[in-house]
Amino acid sequence: MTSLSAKDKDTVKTFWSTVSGKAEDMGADVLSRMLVVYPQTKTYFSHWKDLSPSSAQVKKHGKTIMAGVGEAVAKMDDLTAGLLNLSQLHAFTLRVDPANFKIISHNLLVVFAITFPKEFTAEVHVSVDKFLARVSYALSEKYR
Amino acid sequence: MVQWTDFERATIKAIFAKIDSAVVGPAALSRCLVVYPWTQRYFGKFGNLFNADAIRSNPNVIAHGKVVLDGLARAVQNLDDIKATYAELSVLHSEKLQVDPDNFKLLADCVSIVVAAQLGKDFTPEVQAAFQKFLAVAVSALGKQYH
Repeated sequence: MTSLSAKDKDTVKTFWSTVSGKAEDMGADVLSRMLVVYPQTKTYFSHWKDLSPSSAQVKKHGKTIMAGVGEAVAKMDDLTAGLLNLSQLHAFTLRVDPANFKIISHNLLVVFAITFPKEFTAEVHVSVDKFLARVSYALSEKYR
Repeated sequence: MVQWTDFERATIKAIFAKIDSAVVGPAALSRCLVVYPWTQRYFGKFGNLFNADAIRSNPNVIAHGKVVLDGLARAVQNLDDIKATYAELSVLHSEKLQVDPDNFKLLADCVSIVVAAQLGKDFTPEVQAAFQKFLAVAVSALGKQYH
């Protein structure tokens, strides 16, 4: 698992400060894309009535997810400690198969590319991809 | 055999009618070489791949990016028989180029992201699903002749 260089951290922090203003809209887009493009992920939301992009639940949960990403950006220097509670939540309560972290990461990248095509250069892409992989790893720490 | 819905067929063809393979190809290939630097192992003869700027402006990368996208366009012309269309290409990638087929998925992800950036809001979840299904079929066909 590659660790984040100082340049990666800087790149991610700068990019996040550019995009965080649109976090809420992006969050809803990420989640609805995941549910449409990877229908197997709907199995985690069988308790929701409406899985369409316009659903209030999807929008609210998209916002929650993006807040989690923002938290990870803030706690970038020690993701394992910083995301401990979230890891416990995903491990013991939600029990999301960690393979899905890759799926949501991909959709985050797609939404970044759509919303900020100029800023999401290849250099930004690689640092963000590494960061999301590191976040996924921290989220899976408590699984077993 | 792959089953395509009318929506999927129309969407995939529309995307390829809209994009310029001379733009999307090089953008996707250069992105792949930057984001997944180990893929550079297959391009030792391409010259300077030292940093992102060098990769983007490398004439071999630019030329080859177009070749890759044109290859995908051929699959779009033969949606109902991609496996046969790619049989020779698959042998080439396996026996001559010796590319680890896991790398096809990496390049496909970069193609998705470049096309997403180009199409913007038009790259809806449904369009993304159709396009990624197409890429998955292409990737699978390319891996078929590996033994």
